[in-house]
Amino acid sequence: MLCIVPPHLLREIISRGDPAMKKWAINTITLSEQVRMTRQVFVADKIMSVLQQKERRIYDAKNKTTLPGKLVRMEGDASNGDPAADEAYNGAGWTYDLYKDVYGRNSVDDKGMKLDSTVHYSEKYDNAFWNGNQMVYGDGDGKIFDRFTKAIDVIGHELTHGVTQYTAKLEYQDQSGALNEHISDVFGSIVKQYSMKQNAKQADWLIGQGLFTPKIHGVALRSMKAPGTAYDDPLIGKDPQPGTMQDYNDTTEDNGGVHINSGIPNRAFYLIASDIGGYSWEKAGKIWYKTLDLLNVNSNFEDMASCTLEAAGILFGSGSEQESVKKGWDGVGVPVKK
Amino acid sequence: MKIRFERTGGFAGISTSVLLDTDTMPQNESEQLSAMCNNMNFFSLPSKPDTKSGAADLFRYKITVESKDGKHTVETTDLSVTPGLENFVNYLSDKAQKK
Repeated sequence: MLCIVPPHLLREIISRGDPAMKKWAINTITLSEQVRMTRQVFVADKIMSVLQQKERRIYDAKNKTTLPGKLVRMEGDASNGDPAADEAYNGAGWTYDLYKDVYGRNSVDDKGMKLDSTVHYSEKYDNAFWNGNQMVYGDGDGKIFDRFTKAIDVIGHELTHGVTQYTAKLEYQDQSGALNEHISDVFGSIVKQYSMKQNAKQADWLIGQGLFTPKIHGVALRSMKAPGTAYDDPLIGKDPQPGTMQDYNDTTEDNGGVHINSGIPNRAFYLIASDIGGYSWEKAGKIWYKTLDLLNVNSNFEDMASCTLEAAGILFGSGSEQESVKKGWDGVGVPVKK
Repeated sequence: MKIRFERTGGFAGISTSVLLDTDTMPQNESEQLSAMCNNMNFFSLPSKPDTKSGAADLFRYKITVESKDGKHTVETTDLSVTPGLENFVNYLSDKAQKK
């Protein structure tokens, strides 16, 4: 049997067969390739993960900080009745689908990486983060913040940190860090628009809408359309995001203001997507996705502007799309060099 | 003993801080705080956190303690915080939120 079944057929069985058949085929393929034990596991993992489709796992930290926590839902499982787990599961699904269906990317690493999320992290935790391997969501303190899974763009944002980690690898400091944040906001917002089938005009361009409790004066955490206007409240202060280079905030806090100065490229994206028109994931989103290949770890705002212009040229030639890109960056005071 | 706590970064980018002085707080709380600092050997903790590449949106915590033993600042993140320090960070975060 080992010699008779050709490898391509075994791969087909791995992708289509029932669990027992899969297991047999993986054993066979690794044995027939006569690799050592450690490599067998590696090969099996690799074949499995490349062929796998969407594979979500939701964990519950039960208000502790040990990751990932207890597994509560796997791909295809019914809801466990926890809204946070449902939101993390559905949001990761929309994000996976956007990357797969629109940009042809198979998960975060483009190799079918499992999408792991942990909900109920720590106590009264006012945050969500990407730890380099998975998404982590807090419940909020209940006074300022509600749970962080409530906004689907937060989920798209966190997963996109993973995509950036495997592509442009933008260093999380100063302008390259603000671009890392910006790219997460762009695809976070696009995931929301995609899930709601909204065009650039219909979209609210807000990040984290619904995360604040009703006690806080604010609509969201950030506005890509009008940076600096998302909230203004005695308890938490005013949204500090600038919308042009003129108001760039030269700070050492927050890794050099990565969540602050991202307002500048965020607004450029809004201007460009609106100028191109239609669904933002189609053209503007494709330009930004292509740009991930052109950036490097230390890219700054000017590099971003010229890379998006280049990406627009590669995808759509020297036409109206490139004009929209130029106008958008002009609009926020970032010069576009060829 | 004076303690300054600052939390920056995070998805929202909203920072928060609090300044505590054990001379001006109830005695039981002041004793509890001093014990917490001693138990974790605050003055011998490393000043800078290990940074993990690829991670994003973590909270960054900066704690400065000033006492008769001297002054020491420790910076840490959600992923590099040790269990002893985590209790201290949670205590201080709670204080900063109630401020």
